[in-house]
Amino acid sequence: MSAYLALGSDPTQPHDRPIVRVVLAAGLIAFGIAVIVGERSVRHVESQVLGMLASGIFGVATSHASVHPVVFFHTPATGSVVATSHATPGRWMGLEITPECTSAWLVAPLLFLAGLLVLGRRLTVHAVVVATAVTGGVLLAVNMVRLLMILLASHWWGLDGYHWTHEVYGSLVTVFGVCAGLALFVTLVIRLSRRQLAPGPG
Amino acid sequence: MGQAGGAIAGAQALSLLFSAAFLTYWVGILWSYLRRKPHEEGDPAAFEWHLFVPCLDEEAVVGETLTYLRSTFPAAHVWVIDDDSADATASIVALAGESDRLVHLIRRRPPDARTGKGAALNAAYQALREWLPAGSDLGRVLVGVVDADGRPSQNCLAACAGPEMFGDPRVGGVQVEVRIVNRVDRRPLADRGRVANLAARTLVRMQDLEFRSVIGAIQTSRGRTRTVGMGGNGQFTRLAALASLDEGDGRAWRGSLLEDFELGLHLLLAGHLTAFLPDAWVDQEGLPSLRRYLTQRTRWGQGVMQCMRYLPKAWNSPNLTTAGAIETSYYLLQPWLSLLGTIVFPLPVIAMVINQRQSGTDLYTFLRNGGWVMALMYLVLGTTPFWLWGPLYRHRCEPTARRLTALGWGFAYLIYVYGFYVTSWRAVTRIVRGQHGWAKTRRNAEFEPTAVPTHVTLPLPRPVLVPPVPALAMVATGTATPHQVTAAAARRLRAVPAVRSTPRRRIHIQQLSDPTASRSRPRKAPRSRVRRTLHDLARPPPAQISCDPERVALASGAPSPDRRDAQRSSPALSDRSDGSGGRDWWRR
Repeated sequence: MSAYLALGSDPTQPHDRPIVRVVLAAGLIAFGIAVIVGERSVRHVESQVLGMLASGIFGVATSHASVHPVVFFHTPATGSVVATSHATPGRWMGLEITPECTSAWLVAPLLFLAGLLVLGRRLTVHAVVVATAVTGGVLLAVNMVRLLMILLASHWWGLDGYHWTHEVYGSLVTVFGVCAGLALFVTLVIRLSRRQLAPGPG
Repeated sequence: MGQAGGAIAGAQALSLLFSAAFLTYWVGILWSYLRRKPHEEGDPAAFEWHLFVPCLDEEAVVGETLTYLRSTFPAAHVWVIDDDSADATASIVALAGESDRLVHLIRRRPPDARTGKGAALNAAYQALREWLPAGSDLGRVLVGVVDADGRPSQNCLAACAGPEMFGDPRVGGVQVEVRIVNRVDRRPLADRGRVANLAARTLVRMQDLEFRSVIGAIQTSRGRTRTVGMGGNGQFTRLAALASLDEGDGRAWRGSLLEDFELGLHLLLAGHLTAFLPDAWVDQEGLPSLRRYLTQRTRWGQGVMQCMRYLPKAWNSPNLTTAGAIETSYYLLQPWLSLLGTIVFPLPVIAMVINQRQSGTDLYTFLRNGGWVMALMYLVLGTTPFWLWGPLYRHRCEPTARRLTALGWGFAYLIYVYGFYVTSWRAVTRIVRGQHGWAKTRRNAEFEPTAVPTHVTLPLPRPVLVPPVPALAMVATGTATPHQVTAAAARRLRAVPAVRSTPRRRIHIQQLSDPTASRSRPRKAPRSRVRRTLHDLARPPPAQISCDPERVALASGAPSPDRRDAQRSSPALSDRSDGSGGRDWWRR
């Protein structure tokens, strides 16, 4: 009676075989657990990338701590830094990436979700992997933009800049960025899994 | 990293993800809602219409509903399923059927009776299948489910027959919009004070706002994902689609507490399309009592939780699109996400307060350094998806309302949605305790001092059938409405002693006057005997109990006050939510 959309997977394809799905699901979930367990390492990497972006693109002098996920940056000797704040012009400030500020906690649930989705026959492995990779990249990028915004604002305007970007603009970026990431993930898994219309049951 | 820090960070991330998922979903449904366009109507004469009206103790409303349905949709058959009512419901319907061959009464008896609304609807489904001539085109037979107090709009059948609705042969089910008829009632609690009535009418208004705006938006967006859900009132289904769900046991509806939603899922999984029709509607009563409202919504929540078992089926069904599977999954997971949300959502706020205290920052400093903007931002993001429905509702549904009133409705809705957290926890508690049975949500009229309907537009039964009821004479002289007469007859019938025998048939169909012989009606009661029965029933109670089976058939629907009291005080009825599952009855 009705036409219907066939399930996305095609078991004849090597990468859509059940065993591949199970292994991939286990891998994705294990990766998610690893991201959580090793979130401190993730923060270290994020602080280093942040320092590189700040110095490479915006010319801010940065340095890293070897033990803590902290990026140090030099405040300009002159400028609009509020004199009464701790960010005295011409001194170094440190920006620590705390557990609440890392993207690890956003990426890990995505990996768990992908691990569950790949077990079902509806979505192709290709779709799930691509969507997860792209969305994961978006989440990492969004968080990095937020961190960079905080660092630059702190560099230019001291603690006032830090507060405004950390608590207001950064939160906005995160909320809308995550919304966009989720919408992108859903769109990708749907589009990439779509196959031709097949005749339905009578 | 400390474990506590990690837990808080995880909770914050989950909170953020949940919020983002909700915001994304909200934008999607809002987009669909604002872009909604009217649907083209069709020719209702192209179909055969059968309206199912499940009833349990509906004497206060059923007569008026029958009158409305028969006068508004003259070509539609009305099948009233009496689920062993303890009041005069069956008698009222039987009396109406005396003069109207399109009114059918289906009697259900224990132990089959009161086993759920789905079971009652299945009884009507079976009766209809038996009643239809062999070889009928089930594709053009449409079944509508209307609550005992339901009022489908006059354009309902024409709208349902439209080319995008049943005019499309792929469509197996259509759900029309639900409106709350008592939304304009200023004093829903007549015996209470102003504050109580303000709260009550706001609660009723919220239900109307929810059905016509939020649920309307959700259903409209489901039109895009092809996963429109079915409701209990204003649900229309193609008989051929119902038959395709029948696994040979005569059941199209299954046993979930949310049998209507479950039916929609079954239709989708079987490859039928479902559609939402906002251009037609069914009016139903809103609940002014918070207690009754929470009870009803707890049942809905529990029903959705029960339907979680369909998640793998939906995910693996070739008849659902991927978008449809995702949407269905989201809906099925909602009550569970609400549970998680009650834990996850407060944590970031608690963490923020702790952080502020630990850092030694006072509230003023925090607010001055951008904190106020953050608070405002969270307030806007957290509340807009709710309060905005107030102005939208005014714009789409109540354009004559004042803007400020609409804003007030919006903020009332913001409070209203917190009820879902309560009902989700109540629902899961019931599941954990193994409670799966439910009592019917009682009608508002049952709480009124005089629960006798008065507004009747059509003559109901022919008065001459029950001459001993004094009020019938008043009809003849025009001093009483026919329905008052019916109610009088009902009151009289209650005086008949209760007699109950074990019926041979599970379903007892009474179509009291249908001279048409072309259709097979194997269970039709002989007309003369029914007349005699009505006559007997209207007489003063006999000294001895009669065991005339025909009489029992009618009298059992109108027991003595003693019997009704006894039933209501019995453990099985007074505590129907005891998990026995034997006394279930619901309406949406």
